[in-house]
Amino acid sequence: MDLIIRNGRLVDGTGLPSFFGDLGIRDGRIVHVGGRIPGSATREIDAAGRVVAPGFIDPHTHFDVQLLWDGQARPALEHGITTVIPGNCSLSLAPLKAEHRPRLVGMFQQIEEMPDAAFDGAFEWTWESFDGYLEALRKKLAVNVAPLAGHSVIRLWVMGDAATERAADADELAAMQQLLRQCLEAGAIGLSTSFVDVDENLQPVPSRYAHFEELDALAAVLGEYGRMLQVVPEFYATDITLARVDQLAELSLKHQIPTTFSPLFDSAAVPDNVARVLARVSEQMARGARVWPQVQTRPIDISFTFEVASLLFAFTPGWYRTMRLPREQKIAALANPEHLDGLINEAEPDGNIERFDTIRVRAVIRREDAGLVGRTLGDIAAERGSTPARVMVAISLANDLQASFLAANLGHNDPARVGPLLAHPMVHIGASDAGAHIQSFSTYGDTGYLFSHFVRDRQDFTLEAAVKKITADTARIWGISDRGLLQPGLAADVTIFDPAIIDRGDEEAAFDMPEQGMRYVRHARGIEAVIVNGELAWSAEAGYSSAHSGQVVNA
Amino acid sequence: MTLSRARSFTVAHPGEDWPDIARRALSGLETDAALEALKSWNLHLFLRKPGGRILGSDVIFTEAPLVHSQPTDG
Repeated sequence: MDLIIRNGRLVDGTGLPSFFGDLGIRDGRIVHVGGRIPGSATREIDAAGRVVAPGFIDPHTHFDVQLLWDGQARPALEHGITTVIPGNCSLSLAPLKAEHRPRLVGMFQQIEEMPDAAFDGAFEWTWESFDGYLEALRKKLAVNVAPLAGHSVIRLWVMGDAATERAADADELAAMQQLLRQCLEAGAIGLSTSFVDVDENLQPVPSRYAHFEELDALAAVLGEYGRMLQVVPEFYATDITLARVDQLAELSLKHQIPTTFSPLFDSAAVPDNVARVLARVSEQMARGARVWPQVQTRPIDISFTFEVASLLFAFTPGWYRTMRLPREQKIAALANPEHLDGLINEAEPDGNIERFDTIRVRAVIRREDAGLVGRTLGDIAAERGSTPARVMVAISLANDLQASFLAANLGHNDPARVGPLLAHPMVHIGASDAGAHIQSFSTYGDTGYLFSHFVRDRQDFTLEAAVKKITADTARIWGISDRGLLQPGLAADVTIFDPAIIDRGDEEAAFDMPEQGMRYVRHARGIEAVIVNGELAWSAEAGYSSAHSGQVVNA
Repeated sequence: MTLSRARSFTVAHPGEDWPDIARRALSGLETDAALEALKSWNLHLFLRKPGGRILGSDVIFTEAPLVHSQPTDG
């Protein structure tokens, strides 16, 4: 035996009641579950008082780029995530011709807020094919990766500039089908597409130009392999989301494929959105369609500075355009009273100051502004006889655009509604977006939040049910056959944690991106050890190990 | 299992413009009236820039929003 985890509370992923016993691992596989294992092993871990669970699977990530320099997908791994699914939202790093790299980088930067440093010199582009990308990934993997192929890049490969101009003709459709087939043969777990995203010029990404006939043709290829179709629907509009549910159901039934859409948010602004969408999903599921809505555990919090354009301003075009200006032009525009008046009228129409009233100052660089940290813009505005939007700009300018602000609880933040939603049998817990939006919020720690908030505090789930949701259910939904359970013969992905402590840590700024780039992260609380394919990848005692036992996994 | 009634929609076929869709999806109406109806039901497409541009993946509603019952608390 290579590893024995002794005396743990085994929560095996089935959802059945937990039990106490040992877990044995040999050659990267689970070989023994429960009871007392006689003899000894090369390594033993005492898990008394701890939960021993299958490694968690994160089905919606954008680690495509980060994995090239950080095969541990930090800090996801330390939260117990042993398998990640990148390539969501129509974007993947392959298949991609060298001439299209700038366009892909532009889309990634716009949609996922990846900074320049993530692409410039942080890795070497050695591939064009999906197979080549996986070969580059495999060199450093410490987590398992089940990558999607992106519809936008497939379209770009086949159609070039016409990918954002017109429908595909019959030859192009056939070429896209063949290219997708190659990706699936190489190891792609499915295809992702997007109905909402825009590129760096705020123009629709290539997948949005595809007619339904094209998606149907690609879904037919997915059907040859029984693989997943992931989409980003117009989640802010219920009727359109319902139409997307019906489209996905049609494709699922016709081609016998699983589909998933993300995100589905609960929102006080549209209180019946979730109920209507879930009702439609339930009807379609009852017909045999597989249409899985992904729901995140955490509330929507967005941090921002005026250094970069934040998605918080995506629906106020004047602000968004201003924030996208080159730095000096941006400062000049914000300092221009006439321009600022226009922005204020857009942000606070008719004197309605609610939009920015509750935003808090998160950090400043000017010593004399230190007293503003933690206060709301509304509070500061009242003190200054101004308005929240004006004081936000004033503080930004005074701090050379480096003041940061926090807009907390923008939605999906009513636990009495979100808890039962997460526990719904037809909800797929996911949509973390891990590895994306790195300068707006931390996308790590959603699983810790699930256990601390919805299992321990609110008791919307049993521990066993919550573990099942993010392990066995995820594996089954995605067709990952050898993970998600503590069962002899399956891959030895294991997360050991203290159920009384597990949580997400506080959100903090880290400067661990290439060229000391900043991102928001959360570290784990209560995780004891994370084992990937039988190797100890992270422990609370020793941190990240040198193990590179991650694999590319597929259905 | 029979699906409950949902708001009807269509998608554009390659090469179709708004008059084509109006004639196909609302064949019982005069084209101008059908176009006006489609415009009023698809503001999500007409409010974006350039307004009314149809992308292949767009959902195009062919009737007004349905009146649906509100879920009750508890």
